[in-house]
Amino acid sequence: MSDNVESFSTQSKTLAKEGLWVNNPAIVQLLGLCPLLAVSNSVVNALGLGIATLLVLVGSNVVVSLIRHQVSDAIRLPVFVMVIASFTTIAQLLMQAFTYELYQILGLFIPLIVTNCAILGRADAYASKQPVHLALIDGLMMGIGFLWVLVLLGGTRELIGAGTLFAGMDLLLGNIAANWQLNLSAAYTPALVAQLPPGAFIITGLLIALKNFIDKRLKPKPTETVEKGSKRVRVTGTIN
Amino acid sequence: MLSSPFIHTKRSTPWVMQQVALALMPAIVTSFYFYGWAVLSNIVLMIIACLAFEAFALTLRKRSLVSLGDWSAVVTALLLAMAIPPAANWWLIVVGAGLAMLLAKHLYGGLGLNPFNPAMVAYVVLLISYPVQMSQWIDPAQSALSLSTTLDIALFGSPIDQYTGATALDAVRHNAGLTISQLAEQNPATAWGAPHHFVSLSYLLGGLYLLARRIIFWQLPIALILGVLVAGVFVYDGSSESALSPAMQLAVGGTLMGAFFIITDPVSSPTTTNGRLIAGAFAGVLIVVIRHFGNYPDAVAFAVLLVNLCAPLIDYFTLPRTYGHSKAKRATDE
Amino acid sequence: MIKVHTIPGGIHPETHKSMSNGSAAERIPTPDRLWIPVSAGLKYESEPIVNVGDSVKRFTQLTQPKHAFAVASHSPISGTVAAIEMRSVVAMPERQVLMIAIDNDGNNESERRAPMALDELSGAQILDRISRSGIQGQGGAGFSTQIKIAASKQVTHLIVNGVECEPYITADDRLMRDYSDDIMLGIQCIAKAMQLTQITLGTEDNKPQAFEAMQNAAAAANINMQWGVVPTKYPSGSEKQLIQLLTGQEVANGKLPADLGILMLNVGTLAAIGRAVVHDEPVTERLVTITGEACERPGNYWVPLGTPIDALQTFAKDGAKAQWIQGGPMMGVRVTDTTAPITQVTNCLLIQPAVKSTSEMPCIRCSACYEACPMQLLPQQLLWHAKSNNEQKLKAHNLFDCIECGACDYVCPSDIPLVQYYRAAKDELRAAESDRVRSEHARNRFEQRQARLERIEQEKIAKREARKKAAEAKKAAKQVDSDTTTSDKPKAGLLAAAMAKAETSKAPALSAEKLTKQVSNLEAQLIHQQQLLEEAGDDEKRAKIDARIKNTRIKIDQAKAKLASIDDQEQPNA
Ligand code: SF4
Ligand code: SF4
Repeated sequence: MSDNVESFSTQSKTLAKEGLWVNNPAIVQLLGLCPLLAVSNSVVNALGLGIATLLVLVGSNVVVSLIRHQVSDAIRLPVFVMVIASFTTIAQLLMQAFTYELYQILGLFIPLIVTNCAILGRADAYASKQPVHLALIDGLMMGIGFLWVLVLLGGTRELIGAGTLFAGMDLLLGNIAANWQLNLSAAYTPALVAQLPPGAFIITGLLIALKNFIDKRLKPKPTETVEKGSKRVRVTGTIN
Repeated sequence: MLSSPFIHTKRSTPWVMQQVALALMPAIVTSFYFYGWAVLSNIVLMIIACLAFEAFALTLRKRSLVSLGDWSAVVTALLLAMAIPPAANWWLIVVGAGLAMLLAKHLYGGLGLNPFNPAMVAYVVLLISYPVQMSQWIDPAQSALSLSTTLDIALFGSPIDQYTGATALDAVRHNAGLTISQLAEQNPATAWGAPHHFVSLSYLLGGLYLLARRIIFWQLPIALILGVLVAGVFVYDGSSESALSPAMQLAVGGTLMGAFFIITDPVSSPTTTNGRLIAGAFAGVLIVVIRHFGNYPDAVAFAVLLVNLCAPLIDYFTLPRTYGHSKAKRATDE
Repeated sequence: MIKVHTIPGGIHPETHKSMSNGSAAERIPTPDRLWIPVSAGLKYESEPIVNVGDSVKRFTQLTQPKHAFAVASHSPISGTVAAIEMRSVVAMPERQVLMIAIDNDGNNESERRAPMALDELSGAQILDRISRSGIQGQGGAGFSTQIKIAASKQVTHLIVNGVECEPYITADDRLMRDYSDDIMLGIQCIAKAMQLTQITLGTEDNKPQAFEAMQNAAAAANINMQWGVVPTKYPSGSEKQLIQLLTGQEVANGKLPADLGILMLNVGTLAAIGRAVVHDEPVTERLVTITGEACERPGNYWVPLGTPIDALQTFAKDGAKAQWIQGGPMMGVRVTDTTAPITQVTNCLLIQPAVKSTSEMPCIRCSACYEACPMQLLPQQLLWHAKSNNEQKLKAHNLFDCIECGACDYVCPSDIPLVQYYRAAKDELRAAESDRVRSEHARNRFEQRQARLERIEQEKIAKREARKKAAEAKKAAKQVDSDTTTSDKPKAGLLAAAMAKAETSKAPALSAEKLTKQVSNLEAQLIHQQQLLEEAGDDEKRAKIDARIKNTRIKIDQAKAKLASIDDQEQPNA
């Protein structure tokens, strides 16, 4: 029993590490780039889409794991897609009910969650092979991993592209968030490119570079290896 | 020297870059005549900013600062400074320089490895980001800006009070129901003899110098010009829907600058003879197409970037026939 | 004057020729000791036929070729053989070769020669005299002239290469001006021996005096020649490029000029042939341009082969700091050991003030190299792929067609040592290729061994089977108890006899005459293949040709063996 508990805690730790950082769906696996790049132009949009994706991911992971013994290999993908579609519809209806304005802004990208390969990928690669509790944690961690990148990206783009931060958070969180908006100085001229798709690509690229940079810094330095004889150049004589 | 050959030309890469800078002088002088100190402030600020960013990037990449002396940053700075509106705000220049040096050049590995022309990348990003600032051209018809006004505008952001009316390309894009000849009467920018045409002419002059010195090869500019002319014929009928006449297409905007100074940037263009012809013609056609159907003030930068993107493919399909081989190879053939 | 075609690329470096071509060639004082490499061609071996202590005269043969491509050497002076030991040569700084030291006795005695007028010599005699005289190509490559001629059976057109496109060098220029008679003799020899129908001189338009001298000499010797004056441009004197300039044809990839019916010889080689055939004098000296910015008395000098470069130190203005280059500035080799001797390929000694290498800048893809490449390669792409060791791309971009002329290197504004990269890449590809060939061999060997084992196994089984059958048959025979006396053994004997008969009856079907013809044909083929091998660019081709050569050798051996057996059979009859 204690064995089990311990292994469960280590397992969930691994899952958290994987989902949040090492195997982050957005900046390592580069999955779900389409919604990632399309709607991450402000924090509120990013948060909205991130939460919706998180919900769908957790729900679909759990259900897929539950039915994993009933579904034959041949039809598993259509089944998974149907599960995901159901949860997406739920998320969509919920957003329509509670955050209608945001729903309108995010528009097509909510139903498009169905095609987010991060979700189908997790369902097929992980949830369909693991017990429910692990699938749930995996969905949660992957979802949060996707969410934080999305929010960071959204924040950066909003800041550079519009000169604000947390604008319109009330769309998602209601009136308490009405005054959250931060503005850069009036002298700042927003760089529109950050709001446009090219900006999303550039900033995502920089985020990936940043992650690699941090990883490299954290990694213990390997002992100096001298690269030798990498190039054989025939020279007629000695170098003096 | 360790092995043959033991003699080399006196030409060096810095020398080539200096020649390009030199060839830009006529255009700088003409612009100075029309815009006054506004042009020089652009150039000086841009060179300082570009060199600073280059030095920064080199330090970051742990490279020797010696390559600051290769003049490539200066050429990029000159081209970008000439492409953006005169008396641009200092921050616009700094952002542009940063984009050119860091994003377009050193992120890809520095001189020789950048797939896109750095000046054009920076120009396009600036254009997309700051459409307002990037279309504020002072009116060349009025007296040129004095040094103090220029500094006021560039460094302290005072507003300019002598904006030009619409440029020729803008005028055509927003043309509401006038024929091309009526348009020319209404907006002198679309008629022959507009100040901008003299600037274009001086780019041509500089380009001819580079051709004469065999620093650029004729295929790219000539093919580009022909491309513009031929494609121009298809979109020109003089009516209110029409584009400018093909010849006028050459004289306005950045066509000639693009033909002789931008598309000819060796790093990002195809290297084979046939490849250059294809790339030039493609760029020329794209310029006309994007001008006619697109929404941005000019198309040269976009056209050049698109062609840069195709350069490896063009090179791949235009490998020359080696002596003694019966037919040209593809780079993948064994 | 024939119409001259154009070649792509090429460069126009300053020629600096007037430094050294002002006056006729002089002779340097003979040094006290000469060092003669045993294998003059370096790649193919000869062996010494003199011993330390032997006294030799001028023209005494010192070495005997062991290989068809190897050439003999002769003593340039009279004296004694002082040593035979390993020393450095310029062309191969990475290793030493065997050399014979001759101490000058100052007597200047020559071996008796047998000069003969050209009219009295038959074609075969001419070729024989050429092959005895140890002539190598004097243009710089140093290929055995005898082999080059032997491989050119179908040739009708002799191109005389007097282009000398490398800057600084004027040896051929001076030779054409002052020794045009020797050259004409050489031309006549070759024309007669090979029954040529067409002779063309190719020279650059910066040598008008040489051209005039050659025209006069041709008129005097009554030789009908065509004249091709090509514009001054490097590398017009390269074999492939000159053929393109003069004929408009390209030597197809993997083929030889001989396949176009063309034989190209350098004027120096022709002069050597002329002297060798008519005066019966083997090559023992050559005209060397000694020049350069750090050279004391630039000019052309007759230098005995084997003269150590040390003996020429007086030519250097500033001994210690000067840098010596053997050959021209474009394709020459740096002299790292000044004890190395002058050889037949030393057309020039360039003495330059030592300069520091400039540092390499990034390639800006300016295409200047591509515009300069006479082979129409893309040097900048080759550089890119060489740096990334991309074997496939290097081959696809025809790295092995690069003639290492250095034109691309010369024009590169970024001072990239392109040729150095190409040499390294070629070495690497060759190494990889030979690894592959070796592993292929290993695999073949393994497979053959496997097959052999299997065969043995099969035979064993078959034997066992046979024994079993025999036993059964015996048993059966015993059972039947028949009275037949024929046993298995005599039967087998009969069979063998019948087979042997069949064998021998086949052999005489090929007449001795036919076989002899076959042998000579095969031998000609062999020589041709060997030259192909010599010129083959990449190792793939080399391996293929190697295989073919082996095949031919086997065929020759077989044919010879048959011939021998026929001879054996016929002798008793005769
Ligand atoms: S000449 Fe030098 S810099 Fe120019 S493309 Fe060739 S290798 Fe590159
Ligand atoms: S060295 Fe090779 S690549 Fe360079 S120009 Fe000569 S043939 Fe072309």
